[in-house]
Amino acid sequence: MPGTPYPRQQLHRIAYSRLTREQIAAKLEPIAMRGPASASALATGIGATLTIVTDEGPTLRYQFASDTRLSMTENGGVAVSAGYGAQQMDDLWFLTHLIPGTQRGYVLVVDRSSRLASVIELWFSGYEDNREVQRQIYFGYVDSGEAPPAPRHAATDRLEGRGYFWRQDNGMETLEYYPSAAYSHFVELSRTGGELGFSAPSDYLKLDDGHFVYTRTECEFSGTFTAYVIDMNRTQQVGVRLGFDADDNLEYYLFRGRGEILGQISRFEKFGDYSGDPLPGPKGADGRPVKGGRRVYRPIKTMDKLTPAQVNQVAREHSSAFPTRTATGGAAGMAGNALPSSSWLAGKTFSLRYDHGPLMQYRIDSAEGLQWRQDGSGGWTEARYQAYEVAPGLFLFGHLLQGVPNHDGHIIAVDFHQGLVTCYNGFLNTPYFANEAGARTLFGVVEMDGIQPPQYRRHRHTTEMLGRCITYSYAPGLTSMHLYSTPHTVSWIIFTPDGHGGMEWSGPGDFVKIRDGIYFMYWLEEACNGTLGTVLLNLNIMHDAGIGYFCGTRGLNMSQIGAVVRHAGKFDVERYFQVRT
Amino acid sequence: MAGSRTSTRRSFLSSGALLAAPVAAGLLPAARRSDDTRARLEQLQDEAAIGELHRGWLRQVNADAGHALLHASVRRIVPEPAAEPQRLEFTADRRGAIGRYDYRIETQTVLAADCTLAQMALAQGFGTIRGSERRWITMRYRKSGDRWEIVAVVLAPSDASRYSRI
Repeated sequence: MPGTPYPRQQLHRIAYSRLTREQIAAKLEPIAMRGPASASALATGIGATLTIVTDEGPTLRYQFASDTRLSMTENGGVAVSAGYGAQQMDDLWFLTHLIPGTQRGYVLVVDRSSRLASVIELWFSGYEDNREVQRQIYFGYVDSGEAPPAPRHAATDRLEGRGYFWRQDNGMETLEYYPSAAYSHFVELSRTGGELGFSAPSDYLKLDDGHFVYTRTECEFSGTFTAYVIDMNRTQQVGVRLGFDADDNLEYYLFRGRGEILGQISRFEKFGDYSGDPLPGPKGADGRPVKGGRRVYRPIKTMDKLTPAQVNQVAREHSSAFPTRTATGGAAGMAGNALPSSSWLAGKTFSLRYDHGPLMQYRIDSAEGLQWRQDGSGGWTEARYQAYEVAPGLFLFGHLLQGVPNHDGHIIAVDFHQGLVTCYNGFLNTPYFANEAGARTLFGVVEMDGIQPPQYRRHRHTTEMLGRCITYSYAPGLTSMHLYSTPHTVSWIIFTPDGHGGMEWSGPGDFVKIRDGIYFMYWLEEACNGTLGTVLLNLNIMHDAGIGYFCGTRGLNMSQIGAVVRHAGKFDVERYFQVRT
Repeated sequence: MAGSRTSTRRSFLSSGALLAAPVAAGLLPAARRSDDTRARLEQLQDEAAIGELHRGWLRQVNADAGHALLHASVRRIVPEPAAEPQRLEFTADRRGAIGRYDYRIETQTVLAADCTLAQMALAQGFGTIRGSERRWITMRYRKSGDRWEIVAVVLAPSDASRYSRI
């Protein structure tokens, strides 16, 4: 019986081994002598010798004994023999090798026509997690004895906004989005079934107007490095993958691939700004950039991690809902552009009957105070709430359920014109970190004097947001862009002050259509602060209302978020998520 | 309103003076002219002293002390191109004065790391919000011995009354 395509654990849940230097060295050595694998035939005829001079890096001299064996020197040092492999794309040669006896290697991208070269030095054991591949990029030229060419390959933002489907010669299929000039987002269709997408720091280099280099390092996951050249006109790629998989097997192979363009969304730099590498890397004591240094978002290192007992304590002692806007607490900084709260619910009584339970009864006492009771039993519990009218008759409101074992919060989109309701039921005490929010989606109807709800109709999950990119401006200096990369993923990108896409991260998401142009969505910041973020997005007015549900060392908090939005574009990806027989 | 800690538009109009206003003493009798000239001279000396005090304060603000002297977000104060004239009014006993200045305030605020997005903005090396806006600065001065000193400073939005209570 064939297996399903889904992994036992998604990338962010895998406890990758902390490989030692010695373990890595032992795994690298035989591969360094042999060179990379390749499903496609390796390129032949690279020539007898090659010398590459880089501007601020090494001078590399190669002698090629065959299509798989070379000897090389760095800066005129001792010659080393190694295995290698190369692929060719017109005048471009893509070559890679490791250096036996070290944990280093190189990827070379050489344009034999222009004599320009990009050199990517790679190494293991350069970060506290030894398995994470480090990289340093140098630009230079082929020394042929003639005068050096003046131009250079360069970092660029020209790929920003593009998305591709890639099918490699080894069967690997991915969706790859480039919504940032410093990060990218990838969905492994063949290896993990495409449920979730993930984000990784990336480099984007321009070789010429028709060819670009992309890299990513799967930091916070396996640490694997991928780099490839894109032929923009033919939508083809040649590249390399180097790293240790979840079972600590070394992957080192060249690949060729064919792609399909998913689309091109907007970029937000000023016209004429094609600069790349927008995030300033760390500098050493001498003021110079640290070799291999880059800005990497490592949320698991800074996230509050609480035990169930700690969650119970902070929830009991420090729960708050919709505090006065300050600079602290939950997502307070994301409310600068929020919609005003509404008092329309005040004085009303109604019930929200969810299809498979619960029945939530409400007495709304005031503009910010209510009483709730669950399943018609027990006493009424007071709670603080806020409501926002996102469209006529359509409200988002939320409250904490004090006294419930898992410290639930209900975030509710209720349509009084249709008698329909959808609730994102947040809860704590989840398996990985007790303060990491989980969420259930509840569909149901409104029961209230004067409202006859439908019997069969419900709000429903939708793929209408799939592939869309929406910018959210929460407050001055705080704008992000959502990328809905799979039917179950929300990715978010942070902009730099000059409009480059910068850091990116992602988590599981949910998408419900409420009305035409109005969508209720959540994202879970799993292994990343643990927040449940929700938005009721109204594309008719290009504004949302949202509520965040967060538990950290300072307590359990429910708070307002809200933003003015722009539609940045849509990737055409729905066809990759169909289940076909 | 003499000696009052607050001022109104009316009191300002009756007692205020343009910093650059010419001395208009030519129509007074000779005996009064001498007294008025002395008073006017003292006023000019006070205005000069306050002007120097104010310029020194501006230099301090613009030497990266704005966050300490005015507000955590203030980095620089520069003349507003469309500024209204600066005005200075004295209390009746001439031991106090209120100055009002039309400036452009350049601000820089560091995002509070209170949500994932702000944490990411800070992690990528930015996370500061730079702004520039026209503001009225109202300053209260007090004469201590023969020296003027700044007692209070208030920033007001440009669309608010420039006669902010202080």
